[in-house]
Amino acid sequence: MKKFLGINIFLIFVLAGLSFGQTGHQKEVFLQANQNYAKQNYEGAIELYQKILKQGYENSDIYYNLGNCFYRLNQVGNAVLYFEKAHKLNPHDPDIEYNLELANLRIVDNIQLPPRFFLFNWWDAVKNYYSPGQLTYVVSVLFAVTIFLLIIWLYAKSYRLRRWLMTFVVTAGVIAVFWSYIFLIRIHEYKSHRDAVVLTSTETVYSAPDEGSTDVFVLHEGAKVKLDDQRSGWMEISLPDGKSGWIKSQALGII
Amino acid sequence: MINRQFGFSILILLVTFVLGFSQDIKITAHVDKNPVGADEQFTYEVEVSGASQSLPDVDLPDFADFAILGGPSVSSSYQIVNFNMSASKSYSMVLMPRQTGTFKIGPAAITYKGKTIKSNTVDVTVTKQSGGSSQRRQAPGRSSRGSQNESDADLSKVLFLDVIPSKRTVYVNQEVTLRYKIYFRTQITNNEVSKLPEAVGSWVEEYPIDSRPKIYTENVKGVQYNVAEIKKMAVFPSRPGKITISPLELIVETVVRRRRRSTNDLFDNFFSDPFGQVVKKRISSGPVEIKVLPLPEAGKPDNFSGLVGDFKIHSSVDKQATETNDAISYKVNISGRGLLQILNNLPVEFPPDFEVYDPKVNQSVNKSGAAITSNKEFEYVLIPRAAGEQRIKAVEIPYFNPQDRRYHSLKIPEYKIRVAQGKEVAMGVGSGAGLSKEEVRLLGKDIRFIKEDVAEFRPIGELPYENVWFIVSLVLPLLVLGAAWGYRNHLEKMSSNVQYARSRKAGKHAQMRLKEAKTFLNQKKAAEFYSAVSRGLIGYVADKTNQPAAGLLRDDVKGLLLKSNINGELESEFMTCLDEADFRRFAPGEVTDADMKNFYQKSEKILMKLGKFL
Repeated sequence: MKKFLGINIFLIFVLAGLSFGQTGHQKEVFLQANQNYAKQNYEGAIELYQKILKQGYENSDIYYNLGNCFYRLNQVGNAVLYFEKAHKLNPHDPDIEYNLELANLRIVDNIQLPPRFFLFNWWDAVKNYYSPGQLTYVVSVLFAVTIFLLIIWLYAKSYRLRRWLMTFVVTAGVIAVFWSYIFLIRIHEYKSHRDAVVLTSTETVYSAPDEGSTDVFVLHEGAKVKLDDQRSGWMEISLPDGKSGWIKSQALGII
Repeated sequence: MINRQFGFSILILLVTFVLGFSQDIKITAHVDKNPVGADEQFTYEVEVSGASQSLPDVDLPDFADFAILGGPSVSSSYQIVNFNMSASKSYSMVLMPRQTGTFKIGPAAITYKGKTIKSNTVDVTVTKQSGGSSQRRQAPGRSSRGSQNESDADLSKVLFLDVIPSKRTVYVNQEVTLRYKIYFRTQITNNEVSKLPEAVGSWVEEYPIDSRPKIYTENVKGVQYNVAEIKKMAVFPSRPGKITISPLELIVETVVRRRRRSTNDLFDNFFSDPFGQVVKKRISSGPVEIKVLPLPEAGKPDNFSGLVGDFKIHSSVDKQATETNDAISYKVNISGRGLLQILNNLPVEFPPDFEVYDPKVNQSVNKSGAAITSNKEFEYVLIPRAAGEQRIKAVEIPYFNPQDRRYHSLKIPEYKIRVAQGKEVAMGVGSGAGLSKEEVRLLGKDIRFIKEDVAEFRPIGELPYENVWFIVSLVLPLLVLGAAWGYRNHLEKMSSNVQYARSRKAGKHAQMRLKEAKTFLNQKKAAEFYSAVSRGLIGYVADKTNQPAAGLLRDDVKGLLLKSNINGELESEFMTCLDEADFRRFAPGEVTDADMKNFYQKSEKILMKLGKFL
């Protein structure tokens, strides 16, 4: 039993080491792409950034830089798409937020959000405060803190100290459980809920996945939609204001 | 006395009345014939007389029930009799009844010295037949003598009006063409429309007619007539049911020849008034009833707007490719038999990115053919505001063709227009309007620079919990917690549970004794060595079984060992070892170093074995 656990831990460290080792090459490509951007060779920069993505690696900086390249090339749809991707991975970066806001200014569609009960907005703000990736840190740190406090409590001798420690343990535990719950929600959303951005300059949304069906409305480059369903070549989307319909999937870039 | 007085007073009253009256104005109205035949004319005359030199004009009554053939003609006269001047003025109107019955001609009125004086009203009775004896008694009119002998029936044989509808049963909005023809065998000098046909609940289009209609001959029941088409109109009934088109009425002046009753007189025609008499005659076409069928429900398209006829459509777009803010013209022309008035706008759906202006509509109705044909052109000006491939969807405009009694549709094909991004002139205007203050502040700003620091790359699509470090960070604290828990429990037992503490410490104590023994071994003190080993062995068993070590004898140890289920071999090994130690302790002379070393190793082994059982 002890041996098995030891092998497991060993494997984990080996895997972690492998994943670190592989990224060395990507770093070079990333720096090269940055140089291209600085020389205003945006197409070249895009190509290199995409190369890293094609190799299966990502981080919010690549997406942010790609968004900048597309913004410079006046492709608002792609710019919004990549800024949104960056924002998804890193929700509190001021640069990402700023550039996304600027890119959104150049969008034609101004989707008005229906007013919502303020508590829902608060809940959303709390829930989306960290990205799922960041939540892993939050949850593990809180967990470690709770356990640490619990261990101290185990060895504490004085009654008063034990009482104080127990309140800390309970508080830390509640906070940890709360964020773990949010983490679970976010993972569920991450798996089920996907957003997309319209990449073509004008795209008609139909009432059914068929070009002959009625036009419901029209979306323009850069509009952010929620994906609901998929069918060969078509995607069912909905807007925050409640409108929904089918759109050709090649017109969308999934965030 | 009283009578005389009374008579005198009346006389005075009369004189004053007459005096006053003679200065006043008198107005009377009368007709020259009463009763009047339905197709006869008569004269209505209003006479105003008074002492004044300037007689006021008369307000003539309303002759709603009669057709006015002439007048008003005014004649006036002055008379001076016994230095009394009197003037009279007469207004005469030539009228003709429209219907039979008794009609009231209201009072004529004059305003004289601020007073309104009204004449009497006249009741006119209109009979089917001509006025009979009363005619002769009245002052002769222009025509009275002519119609005296000519009976009404005779006249209708030589002169009548007919209407021929193209159909008696039509669908809603289908055309019925009405031709009004006048049949005559006499000379018509003049004709005048007194009443136009009315078709309530229908759209009427008039065909143009020559002012001098072509006259041709037609045989009606064996009699040859001259025929002139004097009116042609198209009626489009707008609702199903029965509609009645009221008759056309004409007043015709015709020349009739007076005839004697004996027609065998050879000279009759010659001698009797060779120029004939001019007679005014009212003729009516008679009403037309038309049955209007509702449009069939079977196969009726949902978006049917009521278009009936036979149409063609032509549509065009002036360019297939354009730039944003560059106008496109979209034209649709519909033409064919039937009315297009109903079609107010086309059900075209333009893409929302097009700014669409109200269409310019040109509509014309062509009446030169056998049926009414219409032409309607819609021209839309479209301004694309966003780039991309814009589609103006195909449109179907349904119509009903009464010929084959089916619904058809006019099809406008789909137009695809490629809109390229033009110069962004309108962009600022279009999008600037809805911007908030914050957004306006950002408008002129540029994006921030890229991130140049290399951050860690993660596999794409890796779910957060799939990260190894995350799993480690969750498992590791739990392991630490478990260990800490176990150790704390151990410490607690050590301090509170003597048996546990002694048992846990037994090995340590035994080790200590053996260590002690080893030092004795090195110092070659055999008695001390064996004593230490013996104490270690006994102490170990005592610690493990929680017995006081001090008074423990050999047999007690044996009993304890037997109690704790140790196999017999180990027990006897232990006991021999203990016995040997006791024996050597008290007879130390004969032991060698090697014996002591052997014994030390043996007892160490036994203690290790024992530790597994106790």
